Amino acid sequence: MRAAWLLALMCLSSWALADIVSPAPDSVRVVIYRDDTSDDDYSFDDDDDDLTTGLAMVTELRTLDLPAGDSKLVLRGVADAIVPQTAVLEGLPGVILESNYDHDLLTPGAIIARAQGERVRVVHTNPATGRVMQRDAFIRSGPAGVVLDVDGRVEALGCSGLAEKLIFERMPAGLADEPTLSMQVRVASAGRHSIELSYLALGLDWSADYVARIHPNGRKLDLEGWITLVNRSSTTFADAPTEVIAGTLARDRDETQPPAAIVVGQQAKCWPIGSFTTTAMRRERDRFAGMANSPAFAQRSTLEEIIVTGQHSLEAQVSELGDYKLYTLPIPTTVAARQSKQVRFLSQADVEFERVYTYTLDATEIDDADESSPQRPEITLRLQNEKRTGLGRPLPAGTFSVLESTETKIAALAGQDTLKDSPVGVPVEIDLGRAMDVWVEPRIVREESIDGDNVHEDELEIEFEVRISNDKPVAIIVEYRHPGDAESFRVVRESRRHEMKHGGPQWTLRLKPGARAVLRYTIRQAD
Amino acid sequence: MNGPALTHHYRTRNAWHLSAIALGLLAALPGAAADNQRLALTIYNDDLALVQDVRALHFAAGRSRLEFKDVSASIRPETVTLSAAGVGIVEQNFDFDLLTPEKMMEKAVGREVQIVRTNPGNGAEVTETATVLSVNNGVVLRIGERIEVLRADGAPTRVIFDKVPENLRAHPTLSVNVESQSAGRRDATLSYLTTGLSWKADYVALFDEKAGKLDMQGWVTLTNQSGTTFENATTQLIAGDINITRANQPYNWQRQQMIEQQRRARAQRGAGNEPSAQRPLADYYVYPLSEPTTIADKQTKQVGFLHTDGVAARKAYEYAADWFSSLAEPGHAAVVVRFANSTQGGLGAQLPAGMVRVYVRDTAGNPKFVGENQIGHIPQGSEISVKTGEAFDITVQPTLESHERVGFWRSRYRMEYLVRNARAEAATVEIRQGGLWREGTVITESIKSTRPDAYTLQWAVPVAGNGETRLRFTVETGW
Repeated sequence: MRAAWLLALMCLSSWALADIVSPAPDSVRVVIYRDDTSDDDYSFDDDDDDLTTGLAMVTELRTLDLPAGDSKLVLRGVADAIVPQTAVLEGLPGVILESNYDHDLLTPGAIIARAQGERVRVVHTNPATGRVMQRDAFIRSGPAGVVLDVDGRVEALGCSGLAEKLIFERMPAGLADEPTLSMQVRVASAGRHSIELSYLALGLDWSADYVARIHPNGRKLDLEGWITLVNRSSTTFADAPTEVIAGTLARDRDETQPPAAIVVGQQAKCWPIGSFTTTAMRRERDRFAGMANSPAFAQRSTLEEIIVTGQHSLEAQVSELGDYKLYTLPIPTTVAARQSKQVRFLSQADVEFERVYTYTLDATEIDDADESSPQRPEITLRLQNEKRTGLGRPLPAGTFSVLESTETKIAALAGQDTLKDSPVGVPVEIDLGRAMDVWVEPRIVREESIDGDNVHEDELEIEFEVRISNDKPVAIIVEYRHPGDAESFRVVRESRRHEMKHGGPQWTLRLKPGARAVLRYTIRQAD
Repeated sequence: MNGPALTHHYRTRNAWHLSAIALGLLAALPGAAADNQRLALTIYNDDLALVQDVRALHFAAGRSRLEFKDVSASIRPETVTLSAAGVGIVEQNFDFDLLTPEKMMEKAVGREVQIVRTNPGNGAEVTETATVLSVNNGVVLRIGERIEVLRADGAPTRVIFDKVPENLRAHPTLSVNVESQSAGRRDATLSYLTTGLSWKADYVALFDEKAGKLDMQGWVTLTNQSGTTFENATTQLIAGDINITRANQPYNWQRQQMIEQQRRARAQRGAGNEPSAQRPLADYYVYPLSEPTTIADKQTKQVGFLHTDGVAARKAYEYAADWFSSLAEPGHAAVVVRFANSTQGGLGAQLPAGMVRVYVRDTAGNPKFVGENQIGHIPQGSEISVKTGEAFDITVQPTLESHERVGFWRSRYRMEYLVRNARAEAATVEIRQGGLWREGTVITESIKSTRPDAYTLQWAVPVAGNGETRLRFTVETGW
């Protein structure tokens, strides 16, 4: 009777401790966020392989057979750059007592560290006779140089020059081949449950890339937008419904990080061996051992594959998520490890645009007399992002390339610029480069100090004369801008009316083919 | 915790050569002590924990030495106290000279070792006794009357030492010399501070904008980087900013920055005024975990401490400018989620410092992450505002129309804020203008402002769906 009771107790305790292992998700969904869009450089750096950038929310569906009561649920096959504190489990008919993420990895060094005081066998092979000698030993210290007790006396491992190895009797508990997410759960009744595990992970990123093709008549353009997904992690998300989010999220890059991987390395530290060759060899070996331990070496990887898909019917659809734009990829896709993939999200034909020539005076060179040499303004494409101009679509931040056909009917790159997140209704300006045959020649014709009085401080009055010429065979628009950020800055006289735009006064001039114009204005600012 | 296991092996091996003192101390640290060991942890936010370890120890009468191998590897030894009835402490040492082959050879200088040389030609082994003369860039030995360098000829040579030198250990080890009035088994309490353990809160906030509700879950996230596993420990967590001197550690600039940043976290709007059910004893809050838990080394552990559904919450758009200036391109308004942790609002709990991650449901009903921000320790009854990100469709473009002097120390600024809304529904954007100083006055304004403080103006700017609103104002201020 008593024995039976004891057995039952043992069953219960072993039952409670049993690990329920979910080896992999049944299916997975990913939402990929833009990394920092406040940065001006939106292009991916080829060398930028680190897993600390990019952000994705991964949602996994898993099916579990859970016993009633307490059990430890081991969730394997999660993304390798998981941020464990963001893991949320839904659909469990019970409570999560605690959630653990163990990253004590199985390495030779970790086995030695865990096996201290354990009985091991040390095996020597005689180099001449090939005779193998096995002896029982206890590990006294390690893994930074292993010291053994053999027959009551003390020896070091790997210092004799003999072929030596250790044989362990059992695997130490608590070490795993990969970081492991587990949860202690308590459910009321046993059964099969579908659960949804979601978490944030790093290493996935996306960017928008635009290609504008200007029509041969130069009046309209066709605009295509592409989403470029990049997976720098070593996890493949197979057949995953994929979405990307446009907009800037508040993020904390220091806190929302996978825990630093601490690898317990085994260092074969010996007493110095007094021969030149062996010392040199040891140095070489240490050098390589150091490299293998460094994160840079471990994470060294390159994108292995680049995939582009672009059938017309398969376009990503845009919707709203809070105050962001959510783009849903048309079909579930496989975002493989170290892969980049492109999907179209925008294709607008016959978009109206304006080609203007913009010139912004370099305020730091106002006093410089050399400024009076003729300057070439910037070619700017301006798109009114509205339905009536054939656009009216949100434009997520990205790289904007403009193609133009030349007289030889071959498309040529007219220029590239970066675009910030641009909602409908906010004009988009793309700077293509310096103009040809359009000249802006600003000159200071008068500069004088105005002494201050009881009210005003000392000020500087500067009069500008700007000659603008159009040597093109077409009429053009030139926008001349003066930065308005100086203290007490204001325009006091002008030959044409300015408007306040882009943070300062702007004068807009329309020039017929071969026309010349002169703009005169006087500003005042603090001296 | 390898200490007790290690002791066990040593005790079962009679052939083991140990110095007398070592034998004495091993007897004083029986492996069985682990059976009734009671471990209590008090973990602070900032990489610090108080460990209290109660175990039954056998004390010999008079002076004896106790060794603790299973203390935290990141112990701050100067904080150790050991107390037991009728036991006084003579001295305590923390030895962290690690046992390695190199150290062992260095400590063997002047002593005899045995060397076993294997003849590479015929495999024959020859054992000789040698004295270690020097360990500098090579081991110099005297073998009988010969002086040799160890393994200079390349022949495999094992070195056998009689014993492990004192003070070299596999683990950093705490040893305490005690004076006991009487022999016997008694409960002893060992307590010390350790680094490598810390905790913070992680909040999952599922925000339903239409319903104006927030479902809030709070998790305590413990991290253990101390190098030691704490088994079955009764654990409590302390929330609060306590001063910690780190005399033995180099000044950590980054950490100071972080602490300062946390302290200044601006999420809290107004001081809390509700008494909390947590009833703080001192100027900090204590969160006990309901059950003892094992915190493994290199583990991140989460335990839930808060789950409240239906907290009243609302979204707001904000744009703040510290000074009167123009932007060449429009900027995006910030999106913030506001809620209160008052009883009336539905939350009714003080919130320890940590990260709030906000999720909203998509059209299919799946929660999606929309942003995260840190909060400081927030007392109950406070207004909380968490910035989740920037609104894609709501932009603000400030233009300084003019700036002129109206007195020697006085300026007039004319500003325009162009607020655009590309969303279908109307929105209200809170624009805050800083930069006012002495005698700051509004001359004209297109929308009535409020004055949160002497140096700041605030407008609630309504913008129709797919529309735009221009806020214009002129202010004069001294400087």
